Amino acid sequence: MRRLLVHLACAVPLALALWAAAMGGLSANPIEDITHRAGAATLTLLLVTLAFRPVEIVTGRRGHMRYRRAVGMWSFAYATIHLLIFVGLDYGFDPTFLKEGVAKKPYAWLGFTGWLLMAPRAATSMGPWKRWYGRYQQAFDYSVYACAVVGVAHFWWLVKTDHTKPAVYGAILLLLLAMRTPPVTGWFTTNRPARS
Amino acid sequence: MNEPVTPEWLYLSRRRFIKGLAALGVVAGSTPLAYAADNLSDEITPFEKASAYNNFYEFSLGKTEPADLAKGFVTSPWRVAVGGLVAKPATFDMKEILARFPQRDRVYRLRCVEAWSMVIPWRGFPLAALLDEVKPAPEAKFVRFETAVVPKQMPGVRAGNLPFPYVEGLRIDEARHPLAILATGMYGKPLPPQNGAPIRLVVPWKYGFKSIKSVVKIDLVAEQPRTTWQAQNPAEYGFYANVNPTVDHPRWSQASERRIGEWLRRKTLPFNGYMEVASLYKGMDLTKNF
Repeated sequence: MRRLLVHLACAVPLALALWAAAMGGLSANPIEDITHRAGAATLTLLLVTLAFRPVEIVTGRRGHMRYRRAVGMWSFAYATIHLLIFVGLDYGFDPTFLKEGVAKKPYAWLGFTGWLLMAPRAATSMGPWKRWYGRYQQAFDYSVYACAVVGVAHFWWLVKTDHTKPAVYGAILLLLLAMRTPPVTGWFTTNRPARS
Repeated sequence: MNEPVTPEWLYLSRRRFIKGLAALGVVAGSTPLAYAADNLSDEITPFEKASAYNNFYEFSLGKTEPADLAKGFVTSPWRVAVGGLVAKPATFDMKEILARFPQRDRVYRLRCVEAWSMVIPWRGFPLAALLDEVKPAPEAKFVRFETAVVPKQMPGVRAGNLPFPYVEGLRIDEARHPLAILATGMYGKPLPPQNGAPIRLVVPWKYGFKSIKSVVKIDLVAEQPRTTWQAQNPAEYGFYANVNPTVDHPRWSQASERRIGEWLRRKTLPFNGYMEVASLYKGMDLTKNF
């Protein structure tokens, strides 16, 4: 039941986009609109994924970690949609336009790097690949951090003037990263409220 | 002399109309839209899109927000002060502008520096006509434009989205080119606020940000004015900002564009397809003067 709620919550951006598309609620540049929506969903859910462990550190409650994989997979799904919209819808898989357009978009390459960083972690969340995660857990966990940093940088770089939104994502990411440093984690572990 | 006003239906069914004329053996040029640039075979962008997807930082950084936030923007009374290096400085009331300068319809492509484009039927008059009224001095080499700053009505001004007033500029020969117009309407109606009511510049061979909106001040000056986007980021935005598929924005290619309403990208045309302006830039390195 709870798992279903997690999936439903993660599907909200997709549902909103489909609803907007059906009701004519997308902007006059619908491809740009859905690209931005998918990008925002990717980054938001990626930060949510990274928030699981800090929440556990602060509250001392275990148990919710089992939903983290689902959120991470949704984030990867949105990243893949984002990438496919860009290559397929925006550039129509047209090699000439893609060569011209993508080669000169440094932030597009950064975004693609982020997706490449995400893919192995997503793959090792499934079926027989899981044991690879077990073996190289630390490296995979770092890859998710790297991916979030790259994602925020990708967003920051494409913005024309106002960096408020990427700055908010960046600030949350910094906070989440700080939570994982030994001094902060240690402080929370020793000063944790007594479990009821 | 008032020229005949093109009815709205003409915009909406323009392609069919022109095809029909061709079928009847009527040559283009006898249509009320006599300008070469008016005879675009490009489909007109629907009004609903052209008036709902706007860059107008005085109202918002977003593109869909200005339509809402600019609703009720007071554009009457409105005055445009024209001065600087001129023999006859003057402040024109909008009513006077509409009465004095014959308003004509013309369909132009609009290419944004962000690589999207539209096709818009403007209504307006040549900027040259206004310049003739004030008699520029021989030392006037550039024209400098300013947008209104009304903090009470402009949330983006209050938020400090950019250093306002928004400033744009043209070299005087560019300003005198017959394609450069001051628009007072579009789609046969007065300009909606988000599109730059009540009067804006339209320079169709340059990126959209050059076509400054809601103009209150026009000055003839001797030096090249420091324009808003150029001051904001000189590496990314130049004074000339001519549409040029071979000179990329540092962060994206300008070789192709998305025409609003279309699924496939289009090739971007040099000078946005207005090759008649090329002679203005003879001998200039357009890679340096981007």
